[in-house]
Order: sequence, then C-alpha cells, then structure tokens
Amino acid sequence: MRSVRLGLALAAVGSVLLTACGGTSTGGGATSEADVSGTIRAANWGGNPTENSLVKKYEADFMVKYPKIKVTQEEIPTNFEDKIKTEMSANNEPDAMYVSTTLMNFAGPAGRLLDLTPLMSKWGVSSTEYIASLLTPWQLNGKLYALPKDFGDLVLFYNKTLFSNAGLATPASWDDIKADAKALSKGSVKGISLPADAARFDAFLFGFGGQVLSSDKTKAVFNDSKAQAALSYYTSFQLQDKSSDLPDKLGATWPGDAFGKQKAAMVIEGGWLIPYMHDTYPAVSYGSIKLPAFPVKQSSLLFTNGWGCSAKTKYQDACMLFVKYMTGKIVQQQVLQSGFALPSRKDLGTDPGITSNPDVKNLFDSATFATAWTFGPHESKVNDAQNTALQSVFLGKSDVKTALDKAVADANAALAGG
Amino acid sequence: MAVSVAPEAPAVTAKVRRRSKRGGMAIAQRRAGLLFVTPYILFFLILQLAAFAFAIWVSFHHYDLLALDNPFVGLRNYTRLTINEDFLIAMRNTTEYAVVVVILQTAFALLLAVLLDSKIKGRNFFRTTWYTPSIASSVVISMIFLYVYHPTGLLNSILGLVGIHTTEAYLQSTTWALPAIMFLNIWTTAPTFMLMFLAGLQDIPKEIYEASSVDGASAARKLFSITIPLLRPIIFLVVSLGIIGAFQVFDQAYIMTHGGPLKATLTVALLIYQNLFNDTGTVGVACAEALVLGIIIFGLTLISRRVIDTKIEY
Repeated sequence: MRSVRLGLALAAVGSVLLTACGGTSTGGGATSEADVSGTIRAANWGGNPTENSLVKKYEADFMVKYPKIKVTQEEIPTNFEDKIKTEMSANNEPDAMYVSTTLMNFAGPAGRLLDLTPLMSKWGVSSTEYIASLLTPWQLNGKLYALPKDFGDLVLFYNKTLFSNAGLATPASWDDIKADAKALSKGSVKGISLPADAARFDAFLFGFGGQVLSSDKTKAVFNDSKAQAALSYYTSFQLQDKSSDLPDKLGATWPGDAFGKQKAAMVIEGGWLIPYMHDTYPAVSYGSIKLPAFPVKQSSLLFTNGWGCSAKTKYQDACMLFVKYMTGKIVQQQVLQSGFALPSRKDLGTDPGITSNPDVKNLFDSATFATAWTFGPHESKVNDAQNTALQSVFLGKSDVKTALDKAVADANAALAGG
Repeated sequence: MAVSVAPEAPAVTAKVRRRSKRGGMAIAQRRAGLLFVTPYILFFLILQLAAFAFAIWVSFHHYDLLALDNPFVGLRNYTRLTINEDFLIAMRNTTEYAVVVVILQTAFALLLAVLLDSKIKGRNFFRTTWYTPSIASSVVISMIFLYVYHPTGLLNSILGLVGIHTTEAYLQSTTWALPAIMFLNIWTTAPTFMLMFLAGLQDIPKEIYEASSVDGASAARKLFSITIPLLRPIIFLVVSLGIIGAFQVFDQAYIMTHGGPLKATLTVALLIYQNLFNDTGTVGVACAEALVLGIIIFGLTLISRRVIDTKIEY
C-alpha cells in the first residue's frame, strides 16, 4: 500500500516537473503563428456564469485555431485581484489573465505585467484597432500592459411611460433634466436617483472641468472650485430640488433597481442595465440619451477590462496570440451578439448589433468623450475618500467644501504612503 | 481557538506519568501520542507560528505584496497608527461593538441555558431551534439579514404589522448600521455559549439547590447566589471567547456594509484586510494593526481571567 502511494506521489511530482520543463520550445523562435506552442494558464473572473462559459467557449475555439497551444482556464469567482495578487507574490500567477484597471494599478507599476508593445508588432496587432480612450488605463511610461476586451460607460436612461404621462419630451440638456426631475417627483416617485458613489459623480466632476488626481497622479485635487461646483450641482437634485433620492431611500438596492421599480424616472447607468431590465423588469419602457454637455465639456465614465500576460510567463508568444484572439474581432463580435458587453474595437462600430439598438449605440458612441475611471495604486483609498465626502454631504453631515477638503486630505495621506 | 480552558488537562498528564512508570507499554503509548499530535504541531509551527513571526517582521517594513524591494522603516508603521484616523475610528467601533456584544450575548446565553435547564415542556424542541442560528455560517446569516434589514424587508414589514410604518434603511444609517450588526452577532453566537452554560449547569451539585430550598431560598436568590458564582469558570470561558470573537469581527461588516456608511461599521479586522489587499505598500501597516489587535485581545483575556476566574470552593 505504502509503495503504491509513494509511486502516486512521485508520479504527481514528475508530472509537475514535466509540465514545468516541458516547454523548452517556448515558440521564441517561431515566426509564423502556426508554429507557436506552449501551455498557458488563463485566469478570468468567473463570478458571472454566463460570462464564464463564454470565456470557456472562446478558449476552446482558440485551441482549435492554434492546436499547438494549450489553454487551461482558471476561473476566479470572487475577489479576483486579491487572488492574483497573492499568486503573484508567491510567483505562481497564471500566464494570461483579466487585467482589470484595479489589477493594473497594483501590478503594472510593480513590473509584474508583460509589456505587450514589442509582441504586438511581432504578431501584427495595432493599438489603433482599439478605441483610444480604452487603452489609457494600461499605458504606463510608454509601455502597454493589456489590451481592452470590452467596456461599459454611462448614459442617462429615462422611463418613457413616466415621461409621456407627465407630457414631457426627451430631455436634451442638463437644464431639461433638472426641470423634468422636479416635474416627475410626486409621492414616492423621484425624478432621478443619484447615488453617493464616485463611480457616477466623477462624470459630473470631469464635465465641470475638475480632476480627481493631479496629472502626475501624486496629489488629490478634487476640492478645487470646479469640483465644488460639480458636487453642489450633483447634490442639488436631492438637497434643494427634492427631485432625487438615494436608491435605498427608494426601497431599492441600486439605482437600476429603483429605475426598474419605477421609483426613479431617470438614472445614470451603463450597458449592464439593459440585460437587467430585460430579465427583471421587462414591462418597463425606457430610452436613453448620451449624457448632455456639462458646463465645461461632455463627459462620461469608462469601466473597462483587458487581457494581459504575466511578466514571468515562459510562453510570451503564445500568451500574446491568446490576448490577440480574446480581444480580436471574432470573439468581440460574439460578445456583442451575446448582449453581454460593448466591444472595444473600432471595426465593430458599424456592426448591426450596435447600429440597430439606439441604447447600445449611445453607449458605444459615448466612449469617445468618456474618461477611464482609474486612479493609480492607491485608488481604493482615493475612492473611499470620495465616497465618504459624497455620503456626508448627502446625509447632511457636512457642507460641500468641508467634505471635499477633508476627503482630499485623507486621499493625500494615502497617496503619500499611508 | 486560541484560548483553551481545560481543567482536566493536569489530571490527564498526571495519569500518563503514573502509568509510564509501569514500563514498555507506556513508552509505546507515549510515542503513539506524539505521533498523533505531530500533524497539529507541524501545522501550528508552519501556518501559525511562522506566519506570526513573519507578520512581526513585515510590520517593521514598508511592505507590498508585489514590490521587489521592501525597505525597513523601524517603528513607523506603529507610530503612524496613533495618528491614523481610520485606525482610531475602527478601534472605537470595535470596542463599542465588543462591549455591547460580550455583555448582551453572555447574559442572553445564560438566560437561555437556565431556562432550558429547568424542566420546561418541549425542552428538546427549544434546544434545537435556539441552536439553529449557530449552525449556519456567518456569511449565510449575513446574506439573510441583508434582506431582514432592507428598507422593504422583513424587519420593517413586521414593524408595519404592529403599526410602525417605516422605510428606514438600517444598514445605510450611521445610527443603526453598527447596532444592526451587533444584534445579528448576538443572535448567532449566544446559542453556542448557551450550550457551554448548559454543560456547566450539569456540573453544579444538585444537593446545593436542595439544601437552599430547605433554607427557603427563592429562585432568583438561587440564580445569583448559587448558579452564577459556581458557573464562574464557564463565564470566564464565554467572556474570553466572546472578547476574542468580538474584536475579530469581520465577515458581517465585510459582507453587509463594507465598513460604511461613513465608516460607521469599519472594524479593525476589516481595516487590516483593506490595507492588506486594497492599497499599495500598506501590508506593513496591516501587520502592525493586526499585532496591536492581538496584544489588546491577549491583555483583555488576561484581565478577564483575573476578574472572573477566581477559585471556587464548594
């Protein structure tokens, strides 16, 4: 019995060694895609079963196209960045992985991600294929650490029924939205639901000409007069006009929920609202507009996710081909058809999946003026500080200037290294 | 559990020692004993002691999980804690939480145990149902209570039935969020301690109660003059386990409120987690916070031992 177990153990160790050493031909010398070989572990966030099975399918398709490359899917259902971070610190990270903007903020500056620039030119990938604003999160010191696989951004959704019942036309400016919100607020229904969430407010902040961080990202600056004007405006719906309320005050868990329950006639949300409404509140008739121009400029927020490679991968070429495929036209067209996310590629802008649906088109087109929502290695503390400021103004605990000054001081303490 | 109060322990070793004089059989037994504890000792050394030592080392460095260079910074991570607003808020929240939870859950557990120890009808039914909350994992309970505390959830529905109509969002309120988590925790942990009290109650000699009945003592008098004094070792156990658990509170705050609103439910353990994973270069700070928390728990356990666990004479 003992010898059997020992044999099994040795076999297990042996197979690990074989896997580890098996790839002596890394494809480093390969000049055509068909010659590239390797075994890559590919980690994706698996929290959404639909998304997870789509990734599995694309990876299977990839292995059919590149038979010499073997891909092992590693799905991480929750706390994706925490898991990758601990794997990286143990030098055991996957070869290819989702590089969220959060992961980029941790791993990019620490040199743990592979610069894709030289491999892109080697394997014929041009950064011009992607929407330019979607590349910014992964650019650092002239290097590019991931390619965007999809994105979401913010538009204004409005309830068509509530609008027509009140005899209101589709809003076209912020003045319209403000007046309509007042007119629509009756009883337990509010005209709009603006949450205490920096991931919504920052669209206003940028639109009013403000910034969260200085251009070198070393200082928090969201307490200047522009930021104050933005926050005063954002909170005026609720505090002065009484035409907005926080989702939980409307008996909802998030603004989209309040919108579906028809407790809020307008919300600022992204493409994720469309399948949510379809599945949960199919009876609600709604439309969308791009966020109208703010006093300084038109603005929206971009949330994007990419595929990248570990700096330590032994199969750089295989990994690059994988990233190329997973962010390429074939996969992204399927992503679009599944209604799951917006494609990050310019060449899909004319796809019927986008042009035939006005809401999807609004979302896709907003990417041109939207800003990627990402704030560097101390992003979590910066956003905590912003959210705390928003909450304290909404809850009436603080005025706009005091709240922002305090938040900037907190954020700067974090930026200075906690 | 870090604190194991096992009154039988000295007696067991004494027995083993006595037997060992009898020769070969005992040596074999002792070997077998060592063999049985080896896996635990190994796990303890590697996963606890080594990790603990590493945490101490890290707490003196500007440490990041991904950085290649982690410079020594001396006591800076510790001195910064005294001026770190988040840490002070977390400390205050956690202390408030621990005081309320430990007192109420101990009292509640004792009350339940005394009730179950009396000969009420359907004792087994109550014993089972009261213990149920302790079986489910805290994550599951937290998810359930998200709906209980929801503005249109169970709690407000019940209040509505008795004429109190409110859409209070308890977990989004700076006033109610922490008490809401306190209540949930008392509800889930008290039954576990109830079992310990029940075990303790079985150990109290029945003659004492009989004698006091002869002397004409009331039920309340029996509780305060006999039951509680004689339960002191168990009370100590329950209070120290309660202190340890309360100071380590994490899951409920992590799942239900993420420390909000306005840091009203930011606990030390949650702050440690945030510094460990959500920021860059603050692993050393997290380790310093963890060690300070560990020292506080250790100190409080010692103090509670001093105060409660005095010798009992029957």
